[in-house]
Amino acid sequence: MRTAIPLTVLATALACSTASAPAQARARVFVASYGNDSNPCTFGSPCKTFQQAVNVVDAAGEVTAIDSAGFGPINITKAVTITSPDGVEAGVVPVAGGNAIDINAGQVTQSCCTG
Amino acid sequence: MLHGLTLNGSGVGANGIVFNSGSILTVQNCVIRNLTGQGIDFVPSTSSSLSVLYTYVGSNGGYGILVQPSGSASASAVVDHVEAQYNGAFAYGIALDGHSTSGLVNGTVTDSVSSNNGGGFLVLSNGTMAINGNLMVMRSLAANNHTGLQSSAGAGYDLNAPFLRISQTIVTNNVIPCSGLVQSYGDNTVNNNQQPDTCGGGLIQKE
Repeated sequence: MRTAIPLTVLATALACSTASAPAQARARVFVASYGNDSNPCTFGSPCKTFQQAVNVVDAAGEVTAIDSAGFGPINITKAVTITSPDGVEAGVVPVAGGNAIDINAGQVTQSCCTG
Repeated sequence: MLHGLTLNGSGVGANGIVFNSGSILTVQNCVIRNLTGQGIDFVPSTSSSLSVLYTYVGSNGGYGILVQPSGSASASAVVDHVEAQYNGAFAYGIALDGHSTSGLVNGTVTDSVSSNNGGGFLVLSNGTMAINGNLMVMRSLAANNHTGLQSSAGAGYDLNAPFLRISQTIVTNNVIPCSGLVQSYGDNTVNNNQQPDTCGGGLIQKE
């Protein structure tokens, strides 16, 4: 015999499930030539630009380029590592009169990493 | 840390990396070229450290690497296995500039090349009695520049010039091999420069 679940109970259960889901960790994010900045910058759904990846990565996190492409200029305001593996050329081409990478990270205490 | 990046100004971008604040910057396995200004412009207003390792900094209109803290900030720089080539005709491949700060500017360059720039290696102090610049260059090459190595108090005179010490370094094919007070450990090769092949206003002991 099937027992009907009251709608209010189901709604409460869904709300609790949503509320208890941990915030998505962004300690490591990715960019790729085929990425899109509306993506979450995961390996499976990489972003398109270094700037978006830097924006969403945790402080002291890491941004990795998956393949070779130009990923745009960057303004860095927190400690972060930006890297590419061997065999990948991660390009940064500034706009005319602009800088490729600006670092304005304030005083941080990480023992490594930019900023 | 910036690792494995290619920064290409395409002849219109201003600077490769401009560091204004943040404590620590490590640049490793990067190529920084074709900027109209500096390859690396390390200009913190608070005390900070820079490491540049296994990196090419070339064909820029200004300095290859310029370390120039301001205010009372100190800066330390480690440069290892770096090539600074074909940068500005009136700029240095690798330069420590302490003239804008009352803090200290200390740098070490090892196993690196600075060639075909206006100058190879420069350390500049603020000219006060408290000498605030130190640069050690070891196992490196200064070639095909106008000035190979220069130590200066910053105002066109050598009073209270900073310390520039060289060891196991080749200085060749420059117009001027060394300018200002350059101290030698007596184990360098200084030859075939246009002006007299002399570096080492003061010979110093290794230990």
